[in-house]
This record gives sequence, structure tokens and C-alpha cells, in this order.
Amino acid sequence: MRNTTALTCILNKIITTVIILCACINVYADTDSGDGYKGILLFDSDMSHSILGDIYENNILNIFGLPVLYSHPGKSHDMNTDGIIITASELQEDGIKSIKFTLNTALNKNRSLQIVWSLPENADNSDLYRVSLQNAVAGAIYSKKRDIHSGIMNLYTSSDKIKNFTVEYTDDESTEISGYTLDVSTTPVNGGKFWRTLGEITALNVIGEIDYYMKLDSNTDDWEYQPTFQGFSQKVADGPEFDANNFSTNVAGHIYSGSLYYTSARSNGYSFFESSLFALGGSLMWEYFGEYKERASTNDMIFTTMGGALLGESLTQTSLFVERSFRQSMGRDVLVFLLNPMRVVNQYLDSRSGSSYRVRINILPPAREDILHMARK
Amino acid sequence: MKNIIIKFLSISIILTLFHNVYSEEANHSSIYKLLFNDYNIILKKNSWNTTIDGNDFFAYRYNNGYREIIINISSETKNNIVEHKITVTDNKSVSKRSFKFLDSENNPENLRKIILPYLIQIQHEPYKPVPEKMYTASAFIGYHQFHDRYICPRKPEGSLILGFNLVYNPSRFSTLPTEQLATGDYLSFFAYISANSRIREHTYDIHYLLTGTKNRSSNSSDGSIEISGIFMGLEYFRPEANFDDFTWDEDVYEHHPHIQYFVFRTIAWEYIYEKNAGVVQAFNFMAGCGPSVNSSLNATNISEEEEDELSPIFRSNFYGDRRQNFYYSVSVPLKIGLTLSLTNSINVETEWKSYIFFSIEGEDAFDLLNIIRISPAYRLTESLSANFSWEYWHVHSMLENEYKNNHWNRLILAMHYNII
Repeated sequence: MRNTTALTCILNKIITTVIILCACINVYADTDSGDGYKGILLFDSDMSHSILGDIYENNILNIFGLPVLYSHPGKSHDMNTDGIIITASELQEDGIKSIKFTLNTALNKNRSLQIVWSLPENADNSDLYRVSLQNAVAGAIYSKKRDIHSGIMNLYTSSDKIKNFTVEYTDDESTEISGYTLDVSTTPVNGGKFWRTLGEITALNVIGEIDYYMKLDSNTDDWEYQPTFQGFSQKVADGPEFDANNFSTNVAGHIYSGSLYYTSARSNGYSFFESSLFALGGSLMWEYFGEYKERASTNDMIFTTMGGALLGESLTQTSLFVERSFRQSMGRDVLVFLLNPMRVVNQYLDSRSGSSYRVRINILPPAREDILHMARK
Repeated sequence: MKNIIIKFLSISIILTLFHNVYSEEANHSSIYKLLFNDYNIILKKNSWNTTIDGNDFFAYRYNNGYREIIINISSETKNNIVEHKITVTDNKSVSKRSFKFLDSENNPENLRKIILPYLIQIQHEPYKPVPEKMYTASAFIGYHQFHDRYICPRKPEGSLILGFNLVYNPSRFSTLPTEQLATGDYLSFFAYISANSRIREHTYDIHYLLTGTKNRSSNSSDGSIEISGIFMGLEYFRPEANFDDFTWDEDVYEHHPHIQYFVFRTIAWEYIYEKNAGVVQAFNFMAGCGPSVNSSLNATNISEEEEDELSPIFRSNFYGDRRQNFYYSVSVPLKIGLTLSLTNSINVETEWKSYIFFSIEGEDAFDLLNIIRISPAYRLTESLSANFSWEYWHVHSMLENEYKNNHWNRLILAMHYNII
């Protein structure tokens, strides 16, 4: 009996030890899988713009394996444990409405992390909202698990969308970093805007087409093909030839139109050779679709492409020279527009489209409750 | 004995200190190397050319301008605190910053976290103003007489002429003795129009670098640089007359421009030399080839009846029954230019241009055009100069064993203003 009792005691001890060990392992495993966080709270400050509600509904932040809660004014929420709190609120600056996102979380060593960024309020920006939120949460988890500064460096080196980067130290002598500011492009910094360039080149050719039909008398001599599929097939089969058009049309008009194709691509972020390909594309579009009744012209394609590229690059550099050498004034802007209209058009489109946004990362030393309170407010 | 012990101890202390200092330097050099390697990867990704030399990091980039960043790091240890002193020279603008670490925290990982962001942001800062110019630009206004066989023009027909010249050459103020230049690192653009309602003339000439090298003279006093490489270019000359009674010389021309051309220099080798001091101020040479369009003397000075028998290579769509004077060709242009500084106020530019155009339209035809220009200029102020140019044009045309020659003179008086 005594032996049985002793055995039971030993068995109980073993079971208790195993239970405790399992509990410890579970706790550790839980901490590891949750990367130190217990959950993510999404809070829409304004119910009329349920941006975070949509994020919640579509399970966009569930990829991190953390419980996600959603709240808004009037709805109670409880987040007493360590967590990531994201708020969204409407912002209006210079007549442009945008959504301001703020991520707050407590890090290790009595530090807190705050990430603030604003994106234009636009239904087309839902992908941008999703990607930026996922990146911000991933950054917070990385910062909690490892180190915010290494995370920023890894982000900088791996991203091709950071246009600008500044770091702030607590003071001029300090080695303590208090924050970062990143200007993030919605497209790769070294890449170009393909669809916008294609649209502009098409628009230029449409304008050219209107001009072509306004000067119909001088163009009908060259007409050889019917505007049918058979006519187009015949045109392609015949191939291009040297044309007999006016000297100045061939080597001045076509080169200028080529320079417009080129500067459209150049001011949309493409390099010399890439922009030259767009000039070639614009020329092919014109020769095969704009002048669909005429035989395609070899000389036009050569001069529009490479002549357009060289004239376009010269006009690009000249307009840059004017911008850099003179103070901003109406006269300077008019001169830049005359030299390089596509650059001005694209600068305007860039300013209206919100093609980049600023991310401010603050490393703060407040108490955790302050952060939660701030987020609730 | 006591002295020997003291000497031994002194030497030991000195050696120990030396060893400590040396090993610390060596240790920091290896830390800096790691830091610079990380920085190097980031800059290379953004098209910077970089060199690491011990504690110095050198980077330059041509990107719509020239940017040169030189970073030097040194360290000093006092009372268990290591101070890393960073000097940044950004386009000759110098800034300094130091970072202090506890000895225990002075490791590569911490330096990477704290100093690398500081270095990274430098490349994102706006270009610092530079004392030298990456652009030089000038505009000119003047009067010119049209082509005439006589040097002193006998006809009153002239025209107001307006021109612009831009040279983009950011390598001019780079301090490296030799640099590899990439596409777009040199561009020159020259254009003018003559603004007469009855006679118009348009010209432009573009030189665009595809790949090349820049060499700077080791003698810094003369500031000479050489650029050589493969260029691409465009050249266009087109006169238009819109009245019937005008002939540029007796019986030579009616309606058709007697000389016009367009050359797309698909590939050209160019050599450009510039110097600040001495008699020879600039020298350039260009040889290239590419497709072109040009006129022929064989299509001028003929009656309307004779036009019907003209070679079909001469084009006609927009002149009704009359043909235009141009044919498609391949050309080989050559150019040599020399600028001499005779006194502080007087410069003389000389230039010889030669073009040979071969027909590519199934006819045995070629044209040879030679242009010589001598252009003395008197500097009135720092940015304003009075310029006189004399040009001699000679054309030799061949079509199916028919040869024609002609020559003209042209005079231009102009005031040049250096914008920057």
C-alpha cells in the first residue's frame, strides 16, 4: 500500500512536472509565434470612412497569426495586453482629402514605436492601404522581436520605392535615434509609369490624327489602303518604304512629334534608351494606325524614334537648365512649358495623383498605458 | 639596475600603448570597412561609382548633374568613450558630425545601426551648390547676309538671326583624373532661326554622349579636360524662301533651296578638349556616319520642263507638279574646331565641317559639302561679346555622271550673351 502511495506520488509529481513543462513550453511557444504581441486592434476614428473596417472584414492582417479586433467610436474594446493599435482618421490638406494611419505599439526597453502615414482618400488606393498596413505591422513585429534600427536598414536596402530618407537623432551629439522619415513612392523609384506614358502617347497621336484630317487635301495623295482588316493586312504585308513627303514634315515635324513621345516617357521616369523605345512605339502607332490608309514610312520611323530621342533629351536638359538657373516665376514656368510641355503635364499629374506618401517613424519613450490612451483618443 | 628597470618599464609601457593604439586603429579600420561595405551596396544600387580607400569612402554619380561625396572617418578614444568623427564633403561643401559610443558598445552592429542611416540620408539631400558650372548657356542675336559668291554681299536681303547654345558637361568640375562617362553625361545643343518673313533658315546641331571617358590634366593650373567617346547626334540645316523673285545667286536657284540637309549621326567618335589658360582654349574633332536627307545642285537651276526628266530620287508630294530637292542618303560627317585666345579680350573660333552624302535610292549620286568658318569675337564685358563670322560653303554634286559645283559666302554679325 505504501509502495502504491509512493508510486502514485511519483506519478503525480511526474504528471505535474510534465503539465508545468508543457505549460511553460506553450507559453514560450505562444510568445514566439505571437512575436511578443497579443493582438492587433484596428480603430476607425470616423465611422463614415470605414477603411480599417474593410481591412478587418477582409482578414488582411490575419497573415501575422495574431488576433485582430476592430473598433470605432461608440464601440467598447478591451486591449489590456501587449498589442498593436492602428487608428485611421480623415485628414484634409490643401483641399485634398486623405486618410491618416497611425500605428502605436510598445517595444522592449521602455520604448514605444509610432508609425504615421497618410494616403490620398481614393477607392483605387485600397491596395495601397493594404500593403502599407501590412508593411507597418510587419515592421512593428520585427522591431519588437529584434531591433527597430536593423528593421529600418533592412527595409531601406530591400525596397526600391524609397525616394527620400532622413534620420533624426535626439540631438546633434547624440547616438540615439529618435525617428526616421521616409518618402515612399507608390511605384518603384527607378521605374517608369508605363500606362500613363502609353496613354499620353496615344493622346498625342489622337491630336495628330485630328490635325491630319484637318489637312486632308495634302494627305489624300498618299492613300493606298481601305480602312478594313484586309487593307490593314495588306499594309503590314507591303512593309515600309521611304516616303516622298515634304522635307520639313519629314525631318522637322516627325522629329518634334518623336520628341513629345520621348519627353512623355522621360518625364514619367524612364531612361534615355527606354524612352527611345516609347518614341519607337509612338511612331509605330502613328505609322500603322494613325496613317492607316498610307504605306508605313521607313524614314519617318527612323527619324521619329532617334531624332525624337535626341531632340527630346536636348529639350529635357534645356528645361532642367531653366528650372535650375532661374527663380520660379510665371515667365520661367511658361518657358519650361514651351520647351518641354510633357514634363509640365507630368509634374502636374504627379502632384495630383499622390504618387508618393510620407512615413514618419517615431521612437518614443512613454509608458505603455499612455500609448493605449493616445490610441483610444 | 634601477635605471635598467625603469628603462625596461618605460619601453614596455610605450610598446604597450603603441600596440593598443595600433590595434585599436586596426580594429576600427575593420569596423569601418564593414560599414563602408554596407554603404557601398546601397550606393551601387542607386548607380553611384564608388571607391573605398581605408578610412575614406569616395562616391560620384552623374544624374542630371554631377554629385561627388567623400566621407572620411577617424576615431579617438578617451575614458572608455570612442568618438567616431565623420567628415562629409558633398560637392565641395564640408560638414562634420561625431558619434560617441561607450567602449563596450563600440561594435560593428551598433555602428551600422547608428551611423549607416546618417550616411544614407546624405545621398537623398538636395545637390549642394557648386562653384563651377555644369551647364554653360549663351544666346545670340544678330544679322546675317545670305549666301553669295562674293564675300561682300551685293544683295540687300538679310535677316535677323536668333540663336541659343547649351552645353551640359558636369564632368567639368569633377576632380578625378580619369572617369568613365555614361549615356547622357555630355550634351550640347545649338540652334538658331533667322526671322525674316520672306526667308527663313533653321539650324540645329545636337551632340549626345553614349559612352566615353574624361581625363583631367595633372597640372591643375590650366584646368584642362579631355572628353572622348562615342556620341550620337542630329544636325539640320533648312533654308526656305517664299517669294519668287529672289535668287541667291544668278540663275542658280529658283524655288528649291539650293542646299539643305539633315544628318542623323547614328554613331560618331568625338574628342573634346577644354582649357582655362593659354592660347589654345578648345579643340574638338568628330567623325561619324548615319542616315541623312540632303539636296543636290543637280536639281536646281533647271526649267520646269527639265524637271520632268529629273531622277525619281528627287521628291515631290507637296509642291504640286514641282519636285522638292532632296534624296535619302547615308552620310559621313567630319568636324574639326579650334578656339584660340589671342588676348584677354579677343578669341577666334575656327571650324571646318565636311559631309559626304551617298544616295541609297538606287541612283548613282553623291554630294560633298565643305564649310569653313572663322569667327573672331571681342569680349565687351564678362558676359557680353561682339562676334563676326565669315563662312565659306562649297558644294560638289554628282548625279549619273553629271557634275555641278557651287560656292557661297555668308556673313554674320551678332552679339553673344553668356546666360551662365
